[in-house]
Amino acid sequence: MLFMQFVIGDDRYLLEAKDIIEIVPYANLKRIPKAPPYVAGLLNYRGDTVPVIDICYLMGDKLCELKLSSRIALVNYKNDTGESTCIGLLIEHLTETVRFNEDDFSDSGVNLNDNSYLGKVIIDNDCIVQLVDIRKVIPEEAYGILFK
Amino acid sequence: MTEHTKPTLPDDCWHSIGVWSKGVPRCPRLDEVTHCQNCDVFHTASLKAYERALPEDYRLEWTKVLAGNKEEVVSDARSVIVFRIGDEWVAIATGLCKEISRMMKIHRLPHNRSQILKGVVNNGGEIRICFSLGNLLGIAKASQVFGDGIHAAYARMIVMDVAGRRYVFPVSEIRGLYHYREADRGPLPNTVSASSASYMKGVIKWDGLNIGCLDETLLTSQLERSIR
Repeated sequence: MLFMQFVIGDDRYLLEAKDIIEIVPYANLKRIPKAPPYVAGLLNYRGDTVPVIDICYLMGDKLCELKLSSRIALVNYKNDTGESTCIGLLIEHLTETVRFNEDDFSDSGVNLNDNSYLGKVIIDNDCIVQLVDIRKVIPEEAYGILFK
Repeated sequence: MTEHTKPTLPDDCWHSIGVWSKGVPRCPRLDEVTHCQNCDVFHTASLKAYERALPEDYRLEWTKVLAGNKEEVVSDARSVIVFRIGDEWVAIATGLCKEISRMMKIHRLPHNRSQILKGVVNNGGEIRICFSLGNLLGIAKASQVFGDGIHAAYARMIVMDVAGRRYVFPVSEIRGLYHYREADRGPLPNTVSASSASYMKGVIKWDGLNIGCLDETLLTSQLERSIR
């Protein structure tokens, strides 16, 4: 399976590539006043307004830096009713694709809560790499703000 | 795209001992990876190039690109193999070409007076009919020298498959694969000789060359008649 890899702090994480529509550079976003800090803003994507979520802030507690390696992954997000919307995930060090066998993943053994976005882990080059569930990475309260 | 300042990298071993170095010593890793592009040192260094501040003009350029419509993928693209016979550039549908090989020895057939049928060749243990596309199209020998010291022009043979029947013909040089859109194929100019015009579908332009597109159905029916 193909994954998109990113780095937070010193750790590597993976997104499933099948959910990703396109990876684009950190373009100008329209800020939303009073929105929570993890809402980076709105992107004009091919004439549609797409909300962009700062994954660095959600996972690493700091805003995503303005670097060439900081990119926006446009993903197909399916809500509970099966409706598909496009959202942008702003991520630092989003530069590499990697291939892993699905069967080689194992449970991490740490489960913070039932709804944690952190998924299974795999060992690659002596490093532990963890899968991130796109569907769960956005906090519940964000749905109220973004997808009404 | 916008020009960027070159990243400063502390150890560019690919310039000092790698494939882009001018002399010795040579990196021992090259024996294993063949080219620096396959080496993880080069790969890790290339990722560092992304760890630079985002240039403002680059950001603005991409904001505009993303706001616009996505470029549509060409769906009516046709793939052709472009080659040269004498002075003329000719193209044939890629799907018909089964093989491009070095020049094979042509065994002449006794009592054959045809200018078009050249003989038979041994193509991987199979006997194939070899014909002269140049003579069929009425193309004369090249009047100028093609190829220079860097890019020599090598004569090749094309093995063509039309409805299960295979034919071989020699060409002066293979130029490469090219994709064009049906709409970009222009009509034949009036100056083209009648004999070759009858086998052409039209003319495409590529890299400053005017290339005649062969019509394979007309070509094979004429070919079958002339070699019978």
